[in-house]
Formats: sequence, C-alpha cells, structure tokens
Amino acid sequence: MTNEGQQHEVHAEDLTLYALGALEATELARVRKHLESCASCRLELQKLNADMGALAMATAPESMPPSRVKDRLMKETDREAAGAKRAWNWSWAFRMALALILLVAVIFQWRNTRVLEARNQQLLHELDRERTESAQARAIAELMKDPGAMRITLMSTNSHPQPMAHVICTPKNGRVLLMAHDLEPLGPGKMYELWLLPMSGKPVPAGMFNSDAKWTAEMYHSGMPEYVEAKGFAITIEPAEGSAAPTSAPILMGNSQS
Amino acid sequence: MAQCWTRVGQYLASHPIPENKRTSKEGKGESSANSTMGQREDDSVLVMRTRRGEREAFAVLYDRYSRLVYSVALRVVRNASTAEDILHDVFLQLWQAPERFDSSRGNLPAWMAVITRNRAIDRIRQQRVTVDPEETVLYSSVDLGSEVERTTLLGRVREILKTMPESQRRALELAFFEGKTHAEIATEMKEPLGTVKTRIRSALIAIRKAFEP
Repeated sequence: MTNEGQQHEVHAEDLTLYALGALEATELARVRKHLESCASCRLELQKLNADMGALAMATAPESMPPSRVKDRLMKETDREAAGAKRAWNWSWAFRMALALILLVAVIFQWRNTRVLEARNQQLLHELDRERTESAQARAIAELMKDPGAMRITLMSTNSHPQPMAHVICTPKNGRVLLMAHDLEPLGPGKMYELWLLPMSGKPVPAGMFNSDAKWTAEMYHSGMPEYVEAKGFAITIEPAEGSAAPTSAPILMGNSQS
Repeated sequence: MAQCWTRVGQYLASHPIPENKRTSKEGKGESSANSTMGQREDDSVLVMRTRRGEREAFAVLYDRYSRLVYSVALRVVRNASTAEDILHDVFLQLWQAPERFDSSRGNLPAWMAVITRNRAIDRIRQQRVTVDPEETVLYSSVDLGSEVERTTLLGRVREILKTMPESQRRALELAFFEGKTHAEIATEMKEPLGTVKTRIRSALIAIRKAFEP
C-alpha cells in the first residue's frame, strides 16, 4: 500500500466516525478539510451514508405515526403555499409597477429628445439666417467702402418734392446698393425697378424695390452681370413681377459722371 | 447497552420479516401514495413535483416514507412525542427545501433515514450534529426506491447484524443510535480508542456487503 493509501487508511476510520457524527471537534475539522481535496474520500463518505441508511432502515422496528402529524404538516404546507401565492401576487404587482415606471420614463425621455431636437433645429435656422445677414452686411460695407465704386444720385424728372436715389455699384462683381427718399410707395401690383444703363446696348435689370411708409427705400442687389460698365442708372415703375425691359418712362435717372 | 442489541436480535428473531410483508403493509398504507393509474410514481419525480410546490406529490412522499422516518426517530429518541416532532421537522424540511435531496446522487428512503437519525441524535445530545443534511449524499448500487430491492437489501442487513461479533455491534449501536463519540464509547467499553474506531468501521463495512450482488 502506498503512503497515500496508508493516509487514506487512517482517514477511512475517521471518515466512518465523521459520517456518524462521532468525532471530536478538532478531528472533525481535519477530516472536513481533507474531504475538500479528496474525491475518493468523498465517494467513500457517500457509501458510508448509504450503509447508515441501510442500517437505520433495517433495525428500526416499524411504527405507524399518528395521523395528526400529517394533518399538521398538510395545514402548514397549505399555509405556505398560500403565502407563496400572495408573495407571487405582490411580486407580480411590483413588476407591473416597475414596468409602468419604466414606460413613463421612456415616454418622458422620448418627449424631451423631441423638444431638444426641435430647439436644435430652430437654433440652426437662426444661425443660418444670422450668417446670411452678416454676409450681406459685410458685402454692403465693402461696397460702400470700395474706392472703385461709382456713386450716382438719381433725381426726379418732374415734380416737387423731389425724390432722390443714390446708387453705389461695383461692375467687377455685379453688386449694387440703392438708397432713395421722398419716393412715393407704390400700390399693389407695382414695383420700382432699377436699370443699369450700359455704355452700349439695352438697359439691364438691377433689382426691384418699393418704398416704405416714410417714402424711403433701400435695396441691395447682387445678381447683375459682372464687368458691365454703366454709363448711368434709371428707375421705372414696373409690374410687381418685374420686366425684362423698361415698360414705362424713367422717374429717376442719373449718369455715372454725375 | 448490549441489551439494546439483544432486544433488536430478539425482535428480529421473533418477527422474521418475510419478503412480502413490507410490501403488503406499505401497499395498504399507500392507497394515496401511488398515482391514479395504479403505478408507483418514482421518488425523484415526486421530489421534482414537490419542488414545484405540488402538495399532492408531497403527500404521496409522506404516505410512502413517514413510517420509516417515524420508526428511525423513535428508535433513537425512544419517545413518541419527540419522534413526532422529528417526523414533522424532516418532512417540513423536505417541503421547504426539496432541492437538498439530489435524486441523482442517492436514494430518498436511505437519505431520509440518515437525516432523521442525525436529527434525532441532535435531540438526544442537545447539540447540533455537525454533518449538515445538505452534505448528506449517498452512493448506493442498490435502488432503495424500489420496494423489491430495498426489502431484499434490508433482509441481508439483518442477517449480517445477527452474525456480527457482539463487540462490533455494541460499538456501532453506541455510535449510531446513541450518538456517542468514539472517546465516550472507548470509556464505556473500556477499550483503546484505536480499537473502538476499528470496530465501528468494521461493523459498518460489514453492512456494506449487503449491497453486493
């Protein structure tokens, strides 16, 4: 027999006492520790338990227990089963409440997200508008400061008070700024139209506008053909949709030399 | 103490248990212990149903093994009232924690007999048995859930006990039914500790021969 076998031989007797609960505390702890790491001793313990079971069954004279024990037990199991059912019901109610809370939280979060998205879109639109306005303001400032810009004052061709308009334009990029005063506001369906009068050829549309209640008007237009040298500008009254060529006599006209 | 085993011997001699006696008695007591189809439902199935909280399955197990549990408890504590309490506690434990019995690792009647014995020893010693019921795992080559196999096995065990040397039986009796430690047994029997250990071991191993084919 190997040393290991001899060691188990010693434990075999202790295992028997361990199974019987007949060991002193210190020995019991030692056997229990050994069992943790020894599969063969664990198997032996299981066999000893079966031996004990057979011994108990074989030697206990049969006795019939009184029926009251069963009655008592079944009442207790009935009570526990009812308690378990109640616990299950409470558990179910708790789960339902939790699900409801989660649902409300999800809806609240979804709504918040939608509001934030809408707010975000609004801010982006405002940013775009401000960028456009800022770009336009910069363009106006550049136009006004441009030393190469032509400055023309347009005078009324007839009555008093004399409407007057000032035009600043840069032919290199086709931009034009008009500022007018004492100009009567036009009714529905009519608009003033500014015309660039080139050195040669037909007048070129340079923007539509109307005057306000104070009889003043401002217009910035950047859609003119570039590098078209103007000998002057004229303003006519046109249909609101604009005209490709003047359809009425100019009410204001000015030469670039003026 | 020897008188105890003498009484057992006398009982066994005067009550030779025929192979069919237990079967017929249990059959009478198990009117509700079997399924409605008249077939005996397997213990492991009943334990599984008990795990699901089926009181009917638990009642079948009680009808099947309450007599065994009560008999073992009474054998140890020798008091009917205490034995009833133990019977109640053991089955209540089976109802409340049936998962403690792993049907794949042992046989229910033997497992119940062992935990009943341990609980009964706990009562008479007024201290806890240090082997937890959850640690009580059995390995048996015999299906003790089968009435036929169990009856055959128990008959063999009784025969072995009848032929066992008195000193071995006495040491085993003191340890198994009276819950004495080996030191207490050695003092009572006026034997060396090593001798007592060997006798107890030998007696229990002798019983194992009943499991052999």
